Amino acid sequence: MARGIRTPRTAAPNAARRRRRVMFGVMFGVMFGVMSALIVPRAGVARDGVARDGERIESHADGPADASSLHDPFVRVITLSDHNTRVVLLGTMALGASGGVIGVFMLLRKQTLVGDVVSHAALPGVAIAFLAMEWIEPGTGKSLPGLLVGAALSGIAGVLCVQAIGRWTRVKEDAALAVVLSVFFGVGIALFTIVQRLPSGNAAGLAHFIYGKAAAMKADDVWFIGGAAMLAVATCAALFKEFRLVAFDARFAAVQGWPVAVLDSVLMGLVVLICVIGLRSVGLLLVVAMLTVPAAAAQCWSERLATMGVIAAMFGAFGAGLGVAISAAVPRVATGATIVLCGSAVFLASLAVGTRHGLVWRFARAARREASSMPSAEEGHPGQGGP
Amino acid sequence: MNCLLEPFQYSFMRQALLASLLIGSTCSLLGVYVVLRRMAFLGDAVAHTTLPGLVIAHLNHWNLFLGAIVAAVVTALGIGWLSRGHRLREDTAIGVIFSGMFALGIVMISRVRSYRDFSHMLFGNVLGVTTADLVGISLVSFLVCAALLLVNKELMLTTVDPLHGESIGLSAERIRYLLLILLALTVVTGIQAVGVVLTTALIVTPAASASMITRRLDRMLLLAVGFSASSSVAGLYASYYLSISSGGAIVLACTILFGVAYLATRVHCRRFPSRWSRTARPVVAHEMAPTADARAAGTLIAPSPILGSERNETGHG
Repeated sequence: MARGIRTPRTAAPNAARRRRRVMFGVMFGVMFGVMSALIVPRAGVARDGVARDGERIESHADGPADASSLHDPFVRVITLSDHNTRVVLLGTMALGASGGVIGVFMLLRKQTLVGDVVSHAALPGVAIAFLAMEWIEPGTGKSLPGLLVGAALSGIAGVLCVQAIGRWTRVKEDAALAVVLSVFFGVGIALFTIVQRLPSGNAAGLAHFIYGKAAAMKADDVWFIGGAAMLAVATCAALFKEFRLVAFDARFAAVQGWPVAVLDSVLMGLVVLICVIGLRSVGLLLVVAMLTVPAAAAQCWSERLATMGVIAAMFGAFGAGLGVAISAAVPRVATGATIVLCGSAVFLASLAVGTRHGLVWRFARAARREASSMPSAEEGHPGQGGP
Repeated sequence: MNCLLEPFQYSFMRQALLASLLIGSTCSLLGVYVVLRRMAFLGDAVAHTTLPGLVIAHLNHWNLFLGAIVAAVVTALGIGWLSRGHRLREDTAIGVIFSGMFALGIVMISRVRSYRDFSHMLFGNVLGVTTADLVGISLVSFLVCAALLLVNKELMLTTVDPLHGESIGLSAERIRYLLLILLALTVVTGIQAVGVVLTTALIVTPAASASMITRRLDRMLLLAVGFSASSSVAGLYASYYLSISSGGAIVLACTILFGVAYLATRVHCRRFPSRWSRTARPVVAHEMAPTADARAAGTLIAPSPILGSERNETGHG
């Protein structure tokens, strides 16, 4: 957007561009290095396996590995020798990438907190779906599709409630969001205490929805998550022009005759989709971070929407992969929370050295300005408010 | 009568009642300012980020209350500093910081033991309040209420008209930090009652209900306290007789009151349209009487009875 009229931030725009390219390279180099450190040793260990006994290579190449030669849990993780680790890694990385892409549009549309509402509002849906399925046929309460449908429906209901409060009362939007979020969560908690009293309702399985349990992911779940992620990204790609227009200037879009309400609903639908597929693995308390954190980190690097989307997808996938690897290597660490922490680390790094609003560059510039003590024209550059 | 008194023959119920009344009134008093200044999600963020502080205090056998207070104050000041001067947009800062800190808390929990020990931190347990907790809660409530009473005038001015405040020499920045610290203290007491996730409801919902009914600050404060006190009592009864979680019940009662307040304003609006529009309703452009200014500007806007019954947020209020 508006590349031609962007005011140059430094005296020499070419230097800025070069620095951006270099920092980009460094950042992705580090990410690439970490990822390849996760993957490359696998070849070496497999060769060791060959050296030790010739027929073992088959079992390393596919399927669950027989781990007689690999006792160290850390080695087992970074060599991806467990079928389980591979499955979880693939699933969460797909989730992270698609969450990053959707999150960019959410961030620019200034609706990051809506994702929070969707995920918290999913809790009563899970509990109600459990109760309903137990009531219809005892013993079937924990079937995942039913629970996820319930979660999606009550997440949508939460968003609709926020919109209704904004439309018909004088309550401001942030208060409306906070009220709806906590009400749905309160209802969910109250229902969970009822579920726990049921004879069949040992809520341990349902508690995974709150904190997330990525290790419970199965190959079928990965197909489901991958399909949903593909759907979300494909929708964004197909509606890229429209989403961009609405994100930057909704009123102009409305004047031009675009169906802004419909586009917003589609975006909300995608957010609900991401939240629902993330519910099991990251947990509803933290799934919003899959949407906000990579997008906020990408905002530190570029102000072009397409670039931001690609970077956010990379950051999301990287954070998810690193989180899964760490939580698999270190015993007794919650996977979902580790994923979010890795994402936050990426965000902090971007905030510091990101080329667009990096604090390091800002301090350097301030120091240089002090040194030359000349008034410069860059005082009035726009803040973090988006391009 | 008996069924009304029955729950309170237990000492833990009496303590819970006292604690939830204290916490509820403090939260709702502060909540009025929080809602008016659009800081609702800041409370949420502070509540979530106390989790690491709680866990660290728990692991080192320090006082949980103090650990939470330190964590909350540090976070409140941190968010205030980060979002100052638009370094980061506030909702982005809140979203990123709170999910990061909360994740840190959960990682620490999962590292040391199962979630069950900490579920009362997340979801609160006002029924388990001890006498020592009660003393701490009363101290903090007293402190917050006293501070609010002392700076009420300045708070009101900077909330309603920050520019005027600046021009007569009030530092809006300083007032904002004071409010943030008070918010942190209040959130920590709220966590004792309803837990990390639902504290926001305790702060925001009564204040939001009150702000629908009246526009005068003093009445709003009184109404908010009344709402939160009655919902605390109702929630405790519900929690006793239906045996549902007390925090959830209190928040649900708050919300039911929110719905009642909304319906009441609608009915009142139908009955006394003139009064309603004068006291509590934003004036909408198309129902303004054609004033001298409008006529002078040549923009005569006909008052329309059909449109007049609808609320229009985009109107020039």
